[in-house]
Amino acid sequence: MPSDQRQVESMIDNAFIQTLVAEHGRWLMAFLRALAGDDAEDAFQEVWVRIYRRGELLRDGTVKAYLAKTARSVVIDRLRRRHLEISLDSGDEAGESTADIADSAPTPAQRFESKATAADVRAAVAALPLNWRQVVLMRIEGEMDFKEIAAELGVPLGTVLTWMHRATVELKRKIGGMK
Amino acid sequence: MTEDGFFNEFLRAKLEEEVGVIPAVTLPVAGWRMPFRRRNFRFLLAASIAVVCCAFAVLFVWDGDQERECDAAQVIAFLEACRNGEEPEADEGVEAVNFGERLLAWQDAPYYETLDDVFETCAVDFDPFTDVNGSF
Repeated sequence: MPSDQRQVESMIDNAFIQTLVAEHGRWLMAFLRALAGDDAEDAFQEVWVRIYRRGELLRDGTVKAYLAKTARSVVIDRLRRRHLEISLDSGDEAGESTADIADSAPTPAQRFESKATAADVRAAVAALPLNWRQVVLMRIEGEMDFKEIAAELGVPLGTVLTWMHRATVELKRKIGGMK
Repeated sequence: MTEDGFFNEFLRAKLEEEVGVIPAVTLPVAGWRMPFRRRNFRFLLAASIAVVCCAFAVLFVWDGDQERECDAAQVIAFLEACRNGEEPEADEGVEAVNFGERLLAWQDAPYYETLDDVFETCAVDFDPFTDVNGSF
């Protein structure tokens, strides 16, 4: 299997798409299910069709980051087409004060242990505000660095870091207690 | 690995755990699919050429027909007047020009075709260079 760098330079044809699906389908599907919920399978198909139709060489970064960006874009476009109100700023109004966040943060010495199931985790992630959820998934599944995520979302780096921190605290609060 | 790193790995594992079967991907027929930028460029180029061609066609047809009609009427009137020995109504700018040179001016493209039509229309044996008064 070619390295990520060589895949970036490959032409996108049918066979190459199927290769990408085999290699990246699992994490991409997890990404879309957490971001798009029941619309994940349709979004999954649209991601690959969109990439295929571009026909362009992948230019920047890794394949994973490219796929994560495309997937996020597909989900946002689908939500807009369905005329859902997306409160993109809801992540800033979660109702938690800075003091609450600081008090609930676990100590760095603790390793994370939980008996939460996959369904528990997915539900907890799905319950996050969209902005937080995007950052978490682009970071965890897309393996994008925070600068890349900030550029993709069009927000300052500090905002992305804040969203990630708040999302992490919220997720740990929900699923960290399942021991 | 940091504590957050363990947590992220935990999240990733759980999110991917329940994925199950990866949906099959059906791609559209390639057809004339080409990279977006090249497709976009070729479309714009083709559209631009088409617009320019249409513009030229409109201008040529519009200008040619309109001016040819006007010029044909003017030339006919002028030559008939000359043939009848009348004082022709000269167009602006050509009043001081002698008859031969006037006809030569009419022969400039695209008026040359108009002149042929006029010769056929005005007279069978009419030769504007010899049969009318006026210097050549």
